[in-house]
Amino acid sequence: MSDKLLLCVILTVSCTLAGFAVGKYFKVRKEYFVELDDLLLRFSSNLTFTLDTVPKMLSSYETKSSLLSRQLAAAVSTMSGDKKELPSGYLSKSEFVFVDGMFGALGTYNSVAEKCANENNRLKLKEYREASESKYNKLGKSCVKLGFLLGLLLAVLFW
Amino acid sequence: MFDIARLKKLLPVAVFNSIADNLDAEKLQEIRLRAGKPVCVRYNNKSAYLTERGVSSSCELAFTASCEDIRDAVVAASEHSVYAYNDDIVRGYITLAGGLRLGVCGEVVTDGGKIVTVKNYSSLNIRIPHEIKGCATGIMSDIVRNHCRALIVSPPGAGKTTMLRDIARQLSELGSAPNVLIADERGEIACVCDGRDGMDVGTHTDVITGSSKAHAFECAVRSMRPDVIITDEIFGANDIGILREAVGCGISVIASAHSSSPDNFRRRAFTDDIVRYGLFERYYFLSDDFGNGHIAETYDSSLEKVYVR
Repeated sequence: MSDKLLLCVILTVSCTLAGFAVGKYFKVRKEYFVELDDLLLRFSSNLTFTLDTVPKMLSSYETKSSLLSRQLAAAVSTMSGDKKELPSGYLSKSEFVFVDGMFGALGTYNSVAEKCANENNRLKLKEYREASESKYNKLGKSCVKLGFLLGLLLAVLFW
Repeated sequence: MFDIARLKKLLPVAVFNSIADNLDAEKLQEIRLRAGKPVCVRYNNKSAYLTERGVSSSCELAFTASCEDIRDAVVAASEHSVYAYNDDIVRGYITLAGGLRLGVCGEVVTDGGKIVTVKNYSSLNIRIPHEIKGCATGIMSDIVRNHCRALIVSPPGAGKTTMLRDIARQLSELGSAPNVLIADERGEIACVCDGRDGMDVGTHTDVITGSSKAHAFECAVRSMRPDVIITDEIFGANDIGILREAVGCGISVIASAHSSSPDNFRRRAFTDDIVRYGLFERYYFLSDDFGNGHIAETYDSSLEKVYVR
């Protein structure tokens, strides 16, 4: 009896944690795209006002996303002559190709062309951002509850 | 001493490795990359091709530069921020830390007659600065005797800037401690980086970097009270007007100008005005036949040859 009870608790907790992990995945993806968009917005104002160099701007950008943070460090390192691969993390192949190309092309045009390229990047990024937000709203928020319910269902079935 | 590692991010790996492994940084003066053509260097006052084993007089084994190599070099020189260096690129060069200068050629993009930017870079020339302390010693007493109004004339690469730098240093160390101001339009004389002089230009020397001559001279006259202004590469009527203002204010000017010989110098459009207004007391013509900074001939204010002992 006590074994069964313990198994039920373990199943419920495990499924809840799995749900939490899936929810977290959707959340960090959403936060990543929101912060990347904020970075491009800041770059746009940099092009209009301060004209700081790209490495300086990327280095000074504070981000909560660990993936973006690692990508910024890799991009700055590459721009300084020490070539490093951009980490792809939880990005899909098409998303990574876009982000990799975007970082590679930053700062290679004059300010007018750079602003146009930046706006195009933001438009493309908007698609990814909205898709990630939509997924997070649909699935991410309810993942913990669904995981808990799945765990409970499995516990009932095993009882 | 020039640190060759500064070239690493500018050059293709094979080209950089060849330079680092085979060449003496102190003798390296220029590196030229032209799209689809052999990589050339000016080394020890001679032009040569760059091969995997160093310099060569034959172009057969020379590295060939691609358009991408040149574009990458310009992007790297601009710290991956072409927009921040666009004005420099439009002027035809980017000055880097340590006084390295990257001359850029390409297709000019215009908008309503105004140059907007340069695209499709086709060639570049990396010039490497050198510091030769004491190269001006032979003419210092003559310069001082002639009220520090001198023009250093030579073809490109013969050591005008090196000479100006040493004149600034030696003047600044004179007993009377005159205030020397360097109007360093291209950042090549003092090689200022992050507010510090990259080369020794003396203890009583102020430097205005990156500004036009007009702005630098105006700032200098109004606020810095210089006794001598040193500036690089005067060119055209505008610069003559600026020099006249300075000399008229009682400030001595030591400058440099391009020309291959006294005869050719007389053919330059501004020479008549320079002589007519008596802007310089001495003209020193350099020759690179005997190394950088060798004075070949000296002329007086009316461009008559003189012999300095």
